[in-house]
Amino acid sequence: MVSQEEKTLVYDRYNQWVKSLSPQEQNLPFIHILGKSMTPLEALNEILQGSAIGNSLTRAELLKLGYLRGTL
Amino acid sequence: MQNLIIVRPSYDFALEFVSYWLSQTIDNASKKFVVYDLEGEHAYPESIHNILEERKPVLTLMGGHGNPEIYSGTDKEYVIWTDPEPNPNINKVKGMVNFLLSCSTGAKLGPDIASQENTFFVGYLTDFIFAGFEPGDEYSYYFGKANIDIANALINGKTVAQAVDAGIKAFDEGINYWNKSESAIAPMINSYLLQNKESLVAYPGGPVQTPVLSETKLPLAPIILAAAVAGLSLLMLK
Repeated sequence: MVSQEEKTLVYDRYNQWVKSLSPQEQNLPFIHILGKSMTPLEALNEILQGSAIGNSLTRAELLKLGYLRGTL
Repeated sequence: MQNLIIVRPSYDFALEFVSYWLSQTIDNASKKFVVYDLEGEHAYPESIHNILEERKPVLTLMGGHGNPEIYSGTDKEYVIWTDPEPNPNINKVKGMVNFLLSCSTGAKLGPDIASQENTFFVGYLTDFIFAGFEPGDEYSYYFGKANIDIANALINGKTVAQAVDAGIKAFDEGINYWNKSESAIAPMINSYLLQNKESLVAYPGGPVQTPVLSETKLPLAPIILAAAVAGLSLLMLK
């Protein structure tokens, strides 16, 4: 399970990243998971919807953030 | 020479990357084994099962989609499965060393495969996530390198634990590379590299590392995660 708070945290981080990309990069398949290839914009939408794919991306980011905080 | 089978379905974009990576192992494998390379349209269950049963390869390198109970080939047709699907067929890879480059098969299928006598498994506990605009590009490079290094370790006669170590080393190389990058994409790539690294397992022998991804709410999660990664505190990620 991914909480709303966790989802919002990761969504904001992805959104910041996606906005930094060119329009072309935003719309090219780039992230691959569970047999689905997604553009950065599609990945952002999956996270927002809390789909299985979106939650997998969220958990991956939370795992990394845990590492980050563990180093502080 | 003994036999080896490589299975490389490529019917969707994600699998084009996987197929490309496994193709990078063929030259090395051909020096030590008779290689049966089932690529694309050849990666259907019937062809795979024929090779497994008739040629008895000692090593299988199989890419494709998966879930905890099922590994699939071209067009998601089931190739190897375990309970709760009817009539599990894990005996088809009995006595072999098996590397499954797919999502989640390390959760149940892998342990079940490796519960058989003289049978080994390397794979991923959770979703295998990666990034890349096209096979061979810089974004997908370390995702491929990790899997190629695992496969080559097995081809070269290393143990499954040593193969996992080779994969972890490559994932760490990728994390260090992208950690130094100024690219806006780097933080996301690092999260996928880290998840895949944590997800690698070898059986028999149990998980190499156990990531703690509990249902704990956010304020507690960093504490638990920090405890889980004690000893890796030098790893600074974006």
